[in-house]
Amino acid sequence: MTRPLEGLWTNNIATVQLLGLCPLLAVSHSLVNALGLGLATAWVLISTNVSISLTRRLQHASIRLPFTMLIIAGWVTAIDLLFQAYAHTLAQALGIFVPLIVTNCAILVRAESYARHHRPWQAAVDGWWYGLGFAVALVIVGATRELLGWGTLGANLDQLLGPIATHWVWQPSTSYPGFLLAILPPGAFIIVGLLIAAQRAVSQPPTAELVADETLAIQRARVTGPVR
Amino acid sequence: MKCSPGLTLFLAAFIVLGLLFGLQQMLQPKIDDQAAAPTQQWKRNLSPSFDHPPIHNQANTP
Repeated sequence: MTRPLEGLWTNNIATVQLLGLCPLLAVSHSLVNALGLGLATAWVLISTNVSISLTRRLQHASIRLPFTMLIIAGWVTAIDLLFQAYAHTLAQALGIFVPLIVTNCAILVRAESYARHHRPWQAAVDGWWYGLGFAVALVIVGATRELLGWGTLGANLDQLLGPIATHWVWQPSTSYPGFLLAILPPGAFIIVGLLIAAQRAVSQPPTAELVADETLAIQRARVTGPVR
Repeated sequence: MKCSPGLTLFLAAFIVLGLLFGLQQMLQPKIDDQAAAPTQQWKRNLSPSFDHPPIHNQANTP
């Protein structure tokens, strides 16, 4: 039970480890983009974890890092090709951020810290929960930005899910004027910051002891001169 | 028989590249079809009063 809790909440890639923030901020201005990138990242995380776990006995210490990068790059290239074949419009909208999944430190961290030391099914479960945690964070940010910025939710979902999702758009008001800040990068920073703050407020509410400790620590701070 | 680390890495790279080449050969006709298809009309602007340039989805830009 610790894997789901860690991946989704206590050790979430985006809101706790603060990894993968570049795509989180750059392409999360709509739900479909966020969902597409979240699914792609989760798929790469699961596949890489399983591949690293399966080949862990072949990996000599001197080739460990290039071997891991080779596996990650292979899976990212595969998902990029699949996106171009089956979700071409979305692949063009996501642009460089699908190939840039290679540089997502979270994938390397999970491969190095967990998958290398565990069996394939355990690595797959770890990748699933951590990937889902990242995808959920992306979707929350994407949905919030789209709703605030454009006044819609789920527009263009057919780019990812096919014609069945053409009319899955929710538009609360046709006269909503839009909110430009929400779809620009500063808006992304603000919304991600609020998400992180909300997550921490729920998981670590400030206690009286913590506040007292912090006050005490500030009073005893010393930046110059020797301690006498 | 045990391979040296360098040979292991080389063989792994060879296998990965081979698999990716096969995948690309399999998907290339589909990718070409998708690229040749006309792009969808820009349909983001559902709200008539919100006249903002389509900065977030270049593929849909008319």
